[in-house]
Amino acid sequence: MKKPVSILFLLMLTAVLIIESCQEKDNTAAPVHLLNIPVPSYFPPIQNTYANNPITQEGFDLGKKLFYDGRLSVDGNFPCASCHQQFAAFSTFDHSLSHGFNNQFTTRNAPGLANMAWYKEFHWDGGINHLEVQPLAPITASNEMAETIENVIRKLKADEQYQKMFRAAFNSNDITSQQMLKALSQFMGMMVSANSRYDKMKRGETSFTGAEQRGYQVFQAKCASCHAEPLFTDLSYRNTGLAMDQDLRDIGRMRITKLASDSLKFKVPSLRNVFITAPYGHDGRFVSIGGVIDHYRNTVIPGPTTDPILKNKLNINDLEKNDLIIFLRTLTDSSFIADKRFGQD
Amino acid sequence: MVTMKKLINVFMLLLIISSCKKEESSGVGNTPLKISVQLNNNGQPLTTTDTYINQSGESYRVSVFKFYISAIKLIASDNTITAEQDSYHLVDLAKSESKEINAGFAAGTFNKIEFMIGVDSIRNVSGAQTGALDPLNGMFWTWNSGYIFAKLEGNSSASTEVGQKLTYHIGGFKTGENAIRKITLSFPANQPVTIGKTTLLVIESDLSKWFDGPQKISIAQNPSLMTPGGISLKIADNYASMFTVKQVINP
Repeated sequence: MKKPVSILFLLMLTAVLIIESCQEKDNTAAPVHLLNIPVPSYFPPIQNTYANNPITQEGFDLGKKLFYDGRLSVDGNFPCASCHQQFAAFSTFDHSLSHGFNNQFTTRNAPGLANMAWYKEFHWDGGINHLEVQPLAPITASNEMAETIENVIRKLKADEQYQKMFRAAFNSNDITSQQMLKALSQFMGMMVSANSRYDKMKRGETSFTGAEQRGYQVFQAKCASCHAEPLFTDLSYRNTGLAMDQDLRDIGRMRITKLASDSLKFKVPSLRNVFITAPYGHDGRFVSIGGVIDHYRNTVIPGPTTDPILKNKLNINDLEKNDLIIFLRTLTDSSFIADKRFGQD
Repeated sequence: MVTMKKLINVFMLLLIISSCKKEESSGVGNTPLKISVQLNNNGQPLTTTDTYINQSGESYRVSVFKFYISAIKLIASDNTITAEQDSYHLVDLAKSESKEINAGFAAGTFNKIEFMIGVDSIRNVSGAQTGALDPLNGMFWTWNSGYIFAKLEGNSSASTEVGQKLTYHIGGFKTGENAIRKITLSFPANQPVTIGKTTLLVIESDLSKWFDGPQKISIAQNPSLMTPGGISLKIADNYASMFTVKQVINP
């Protein structure tokens, strides 16, 4: 009996030694509470955005505070939420172009924020290659938040509440831009919109009306090749045959790739919450959904990079247009825009 | 039973050792080597007050000069390599401490140094970074994600820009716009670097090569370069030629 006991003791000692020797020493480690992005069964897997940034309640809470904090801008007036308003599904309500510091307009329509965890690239031209580095663009743009990252970090470091929250989220006594960006990424990644009438139909919790069903069929026949379900975008860049705005002179994706073949191409926007994210188009030139559909029916310019699917315009009659609009209303997620987790405290 | 116990002991010991090994494969070590980067222009210390003239006859002054040195490796005559781990350093004319790099290597005697100007593509696409790669260092393009590998700002009477500004932000990691340059320098034949013994390695960087390297760059034609690709690649070829080993100090 003696030997097994000593072997057992040895085993336990070894286990303790292994654990001890491998742990990154930190005695102040407070427990964090892991969160998972809820992935609906009919959604693809999320991107690997969070491979090095596990989402925690603490990180999410910090990200939310940062999202609503004007101190991320130079004059305190422009938090992320100034252009990404929850009641407008995190787009800018009723603005073709948003405005930032010193009454300056931006040059593109602020998109709604939802289902960011499924996106690999950001902005209308796809210039941003990771969700974590996206906030650097609006924070430092002179016509948006107009602040330097250095100043933002200085302001956060001086704030006791932030000191506590960064410590809770990242278990470190320092505050870095990396932590700030990871926290914002955690908050935005949790913003999943998948509880619209369309989603309830998908889950078998409800069924479409006749008009909704007819509109869904029009959508699947005429729109879904670009606005692919369930994200309602295939995340590609396409030229929809819009005339170039002569003031903005925005060449779109070509600014990033420098390829002439990408001239005037912009990211296919998601249609989720489309009814509450007007106006439409990369420069917000369309005030209504009907106007967008009419463009596809009547005014597509067949330029060298215009999408082949649109070059000959879309054949949608008035009846189909009405049904399509009724279907698009089913993409409004009213629980998402009322979700207190994402709202300002 | 005694041998059994011995066996278990040995096994456990192995387990403990192996469980905590942090890739101590040959070539990685923590013995420090101090590398001093001397920022010069045509043999003279680079300043923000002097006026310089390039071979195209254009005068210019420098207000900002910084660049990334990364992936530092030392190579021995038998091609044994020791590489610094997590090797990213931002050398900045405005920060004297940034010109003294303390890197960790495995023991050995080496006759070449290899490093990159720039930041490997992985770190350009992996989200928020910290330390030398912190975006607050002003070396990250926010609108077109990616690091600026090397930055030269100043002014020049040859510049057609407002305020006669000279602005070169050089970077780019994608195919066709890759401005990462690998630099290999040999130490003097009788002065190898011995890790643990060598006290200082002095490397000189000569800014004049930005204009007068393998490629001739005229400020009048290119007062501003702020996107990846194009002429920026010629500047990258030029900055790849700006380094020389000045001194290896062995006691």
